[in-house]
Amino acid sequence: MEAENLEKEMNRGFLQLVILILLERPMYGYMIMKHMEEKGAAIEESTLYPLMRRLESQGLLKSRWDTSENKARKYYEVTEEGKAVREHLEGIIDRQHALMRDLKGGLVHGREA
Amino acid sequence: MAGKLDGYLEEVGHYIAGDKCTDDILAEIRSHIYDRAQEEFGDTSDESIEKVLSGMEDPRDMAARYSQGQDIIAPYYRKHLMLYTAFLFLINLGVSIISLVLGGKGLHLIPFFQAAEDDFYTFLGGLPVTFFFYFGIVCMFLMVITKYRKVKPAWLILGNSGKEMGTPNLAGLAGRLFGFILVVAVLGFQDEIVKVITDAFPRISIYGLPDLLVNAFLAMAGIDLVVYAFRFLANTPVLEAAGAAAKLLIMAFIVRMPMGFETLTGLDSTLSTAIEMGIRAVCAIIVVITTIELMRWLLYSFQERYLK
Repeated sequence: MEAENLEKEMNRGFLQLVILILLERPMYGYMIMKHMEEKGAAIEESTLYPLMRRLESQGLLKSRWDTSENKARKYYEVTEEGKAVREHLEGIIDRQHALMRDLKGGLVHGREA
Repeated sequence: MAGKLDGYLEEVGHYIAGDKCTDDILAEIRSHIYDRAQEEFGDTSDESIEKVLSGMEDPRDMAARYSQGQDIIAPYYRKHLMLYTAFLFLINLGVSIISLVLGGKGLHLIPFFQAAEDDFYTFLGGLPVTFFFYFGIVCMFLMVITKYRKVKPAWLILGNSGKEMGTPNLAGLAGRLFGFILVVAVLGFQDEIVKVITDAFPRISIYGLPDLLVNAFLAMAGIDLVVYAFRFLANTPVLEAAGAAAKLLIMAFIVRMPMGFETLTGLDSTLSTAIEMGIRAVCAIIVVITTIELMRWLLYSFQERYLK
């Protein structure tokens, strides 16, 4: 149970970055869900939609309704501010990975080398 | 079956009511459900919609997801909540204490409470009511700030918990000891001092303070010294608050007693009354300063207890 909570906590921040990367081109909610499912990382709609709305309210995403087809769909796309934040977050992830590698490399069977 | 979809959306809408984007949110969920039905079941028939709905999250939980992160009071402001409440409450309490010590006719608890001086239990009963009144006011204030995000109360300097307290040191103790010895010396040898000054300036009339005031000032200087010394053992603002409260008790006692100037030799009644009024005014100033001191230490005690 604790592992599940930790996983959720870790995913929360990571998912924001994933959305910012994915929405380099305009996509609507269900399209994103299918895309992620194909990548083996399914997202629930109850997680995805509120998250995109929050990112939009923070100015990191922009949206528009497309009614050109017979169905109305809301497309999201990353803003310039979102792109800047994305780069910043990517930098953090890279540093975290480097740190992890470094820390793990310094350990041999749980003992410091 | 469209009724089921509408029912689902209506229920989601009910729980996110108040959000100015409610219609937009519901339209997006509706669009999503149609997309899923089309993709997973090949059509958007009532049956397919129902199947999709059965796999969707409960409307209340779905709505709750949209509210996540929308705090009524932002975490940044939450730490100020009890502090500001205490601040307002203690100002209020301070006014009441000054009124009590100086022998006012009533005890006032702003904004709606007033008890007779001798009805102390009613006054005590009003304290929690007043506290929660201010709590509500501060809550509303912080809610408005959170909602509109136009003010960041960094200008409200309160909240630097413990920074003003400092740690006791030997220099501080020596200062208090010197102050105490000075009071003892001045008060103990005041007859001699009066004599020296009178001899030097025969045209000036100087009188010593009555014993009542002498003992009161001595006791207050002693309290300062003892409190500071105890802070070496436990450096807590509670000690300073207790010291201030003790000094107020002394002041409450002496302002109710005759000062004794009328018994001084060679003083006519008009002059003794004028001097006594002056002394009482000084006492009132001491009471106000000591009350502010008490409120300050109580506030630090409160911070130390609740905000760490």
